Amino acid sequence: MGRRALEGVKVVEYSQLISGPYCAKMMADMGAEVIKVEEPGVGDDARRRGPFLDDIPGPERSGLFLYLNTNKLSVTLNLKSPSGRNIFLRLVEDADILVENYPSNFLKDLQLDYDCLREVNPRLILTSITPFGQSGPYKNYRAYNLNLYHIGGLGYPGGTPDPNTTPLKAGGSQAEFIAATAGAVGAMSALHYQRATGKGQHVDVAAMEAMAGIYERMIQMYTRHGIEIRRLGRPNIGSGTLLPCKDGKTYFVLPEEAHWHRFVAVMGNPEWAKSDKFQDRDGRTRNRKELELLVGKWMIERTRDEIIRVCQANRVPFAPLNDMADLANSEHLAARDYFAEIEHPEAGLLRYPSASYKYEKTPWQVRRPAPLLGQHNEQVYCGRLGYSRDELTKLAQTGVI
Amino acid sequence: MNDLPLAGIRIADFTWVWAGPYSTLLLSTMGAEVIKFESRKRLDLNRTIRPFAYADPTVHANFVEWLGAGALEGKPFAHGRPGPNQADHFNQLNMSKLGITLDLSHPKSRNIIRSVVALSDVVIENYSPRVMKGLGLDYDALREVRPDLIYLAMSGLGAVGPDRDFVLYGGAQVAIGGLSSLTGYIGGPPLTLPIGYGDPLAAMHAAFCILAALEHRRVTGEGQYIDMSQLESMINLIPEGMMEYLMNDRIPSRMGNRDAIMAPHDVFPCKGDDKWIAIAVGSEAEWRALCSAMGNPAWTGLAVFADMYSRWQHQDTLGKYLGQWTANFEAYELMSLLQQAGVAATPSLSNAEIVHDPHLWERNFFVNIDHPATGPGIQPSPGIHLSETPAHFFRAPLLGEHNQRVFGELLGITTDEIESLVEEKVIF
Repeated sequence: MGRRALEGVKVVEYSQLISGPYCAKMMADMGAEVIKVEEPGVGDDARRRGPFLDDIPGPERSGLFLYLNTNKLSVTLNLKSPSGRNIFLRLVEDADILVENYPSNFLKDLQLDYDCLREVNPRLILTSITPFGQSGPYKNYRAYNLNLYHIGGLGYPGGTPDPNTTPLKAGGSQAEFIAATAGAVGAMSALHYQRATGKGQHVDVAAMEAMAGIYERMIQMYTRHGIEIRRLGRPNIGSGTLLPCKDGKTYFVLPEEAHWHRFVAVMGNPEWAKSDKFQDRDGRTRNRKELELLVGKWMIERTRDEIIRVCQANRVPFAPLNDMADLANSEHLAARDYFAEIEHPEAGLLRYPSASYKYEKTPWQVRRPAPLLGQHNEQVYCGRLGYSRDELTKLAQTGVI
Repeated sequence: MNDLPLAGIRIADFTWVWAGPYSTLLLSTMGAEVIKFESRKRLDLNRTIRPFAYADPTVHANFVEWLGAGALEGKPFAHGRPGPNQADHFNQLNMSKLGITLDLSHPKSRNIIRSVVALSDVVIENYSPRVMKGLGLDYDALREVRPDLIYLAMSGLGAVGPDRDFVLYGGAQVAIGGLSSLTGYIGGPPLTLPIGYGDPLAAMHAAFCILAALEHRRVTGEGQYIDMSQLESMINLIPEGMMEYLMNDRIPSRMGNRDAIMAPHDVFPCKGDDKWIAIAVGSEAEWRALCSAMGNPAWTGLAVFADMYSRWQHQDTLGKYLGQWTANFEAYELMSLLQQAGVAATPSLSNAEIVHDPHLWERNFFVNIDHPATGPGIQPSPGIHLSETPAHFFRAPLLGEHNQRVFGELLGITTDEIESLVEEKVIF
């Protein structure tokens, strides 16, 4: 196997669920060594989140955990015990980056906050990914993805403008993932600096800010123009709509004049398209509902594939609405080897999404499947830190690992 | 004055609209020198779309007054096109970058571009795959002038594959990437998101990719070509849905605001005009905290709410009770009350409320930026805080603002030559 882009970068991960683990996964996938520190006996909470293989729960059967923790090593460690804390410091001593996503006073209470860690390793980049960050009035607030998605701004205008419905989050755990990627960008920026100067630092990412950060355009509508995006009777802020076709839905959008003209030609220049109402972008926006009804009549007679094929061939930027089966069976994604088969000692052979990048010299590789809980205790504690097997047993029996 | 983490890195930025520029914004604010290639021949879409800001307060006031309450439905945002330097979204996305104008299709621009690239560490572009090759600016061509070049090609569907030439805009990523199919009310149709979410999430991955490639180059001296697919970045963020299908052959249903096991886990009404709070209870302890915060009303003692499993089964009823209680409070007030009790509760904030949120201000999320065309204002930041080397923010460039600095000072092109290049519309 060839060299990987982040080979030689040492990461310790002390985090659970998504925001920390996906950040560390991004680095692990690029070849950084990631030692994931999990609580003895219990492990990462994601081991208890579905979907589960064959709907049978188990710590080595969670699809979410398996995906997020491919390419990592796992050790178990009880940081609340002084001996465990000492072992943790030995791991951190040698690391470039520590990724964690615990409440900000949690590490402080264990005397493992940045001020302590930097004494042990001045090169360390502590990457803390939390709901609200290390400071500010909400610093100690609790939040799950639902909360962060809604306080970050995308939730309120989400859904439909119907007073009988609620503001709506997107599927999955988007706020957690956005926070994770922000953490990864911060950590890697800090790594660049560390390589040049030998100095570490504290990267502080708040999921609320990372979400509000990508909502920037709508924030500016208010700061510049006093426009509050209201849920009901709101201005037309989305640029596209999902319109039904014969066998599914198509994403319909016409951002440029040229697209409109090409689309009209694709439809065979219907009479209605000649109306003044639709001749420029303003007109099409003002008369959007009517436009969509008319376009809808053309779409409903055609399958999704037909529509996409003819539109894309004429550079009209419509897209299919894909579900999970469409993606799993996509010829395009198959041609790109996007889904990878990985063998796992307990979950067996499964397909996983791989990476969204193809590096010419340092391609994505699977070095190891997601680890079993504490799978690498011996390799790390004995092999690296020099504990004997006997000591390892004692550490396990006394609840340190 | 603090150091900047990416000081000394130069990026030749051929991206436009949102995904590419947000990526180079993450890098420019971390101190990379980002030279943004633009052209009057084909302006970045974001320089041409509304709303625009008006530095003239009278015009601004008239604009806001014209909008008025309720006047927004179906109406465009502004009249006319006051100019490419007054587009808010452009000015937000392109902070901390240098801007030059060069007609990439003009034969005389080619050597100029190559000269800039020879002095750059990274090239990033987000055109569809054939465009740069057509201009003679693909990786193979540019590595001739810079052998250790890192070249990131960011496209909707990737540089290879049967659908690689698809043109995608705006929220299409969310539809094509599977997220729409997972988003919607229970029993309802798939829905789009209020922003073209696929763009910023791909941007964040792209910034990371560039940084990883720089680390590889630091160790080995090697640059490389990177083919990045925005679609695949989106799929990387929906493993709950994707693994459900890949493992169990099942298409997951849309769940609204709900969760697979947590209950309550939804959005509830608050006092005021269309105000809401998101409440999620993830443990017995949090449930007891919620009950206590409510004053232990009798309904919380009903058998159907006795444990998490049962609460999940009866969350329709639970939601009705809870919603009746939450409706007595304003959202922020309720967040404070519930958070003090140990319950995860946050308002569903509008864009206006975000701008007034005290936590964001305390965190320095908003930065003050003055701009000659639009006047002073606050801008949201990406929110990535580094303790020793904080991000730096300066205003987005006016069109062609740094032509002299880049062509004259960096490349050493004489004033006379620059003038004639301008006349010939090479610098254009």
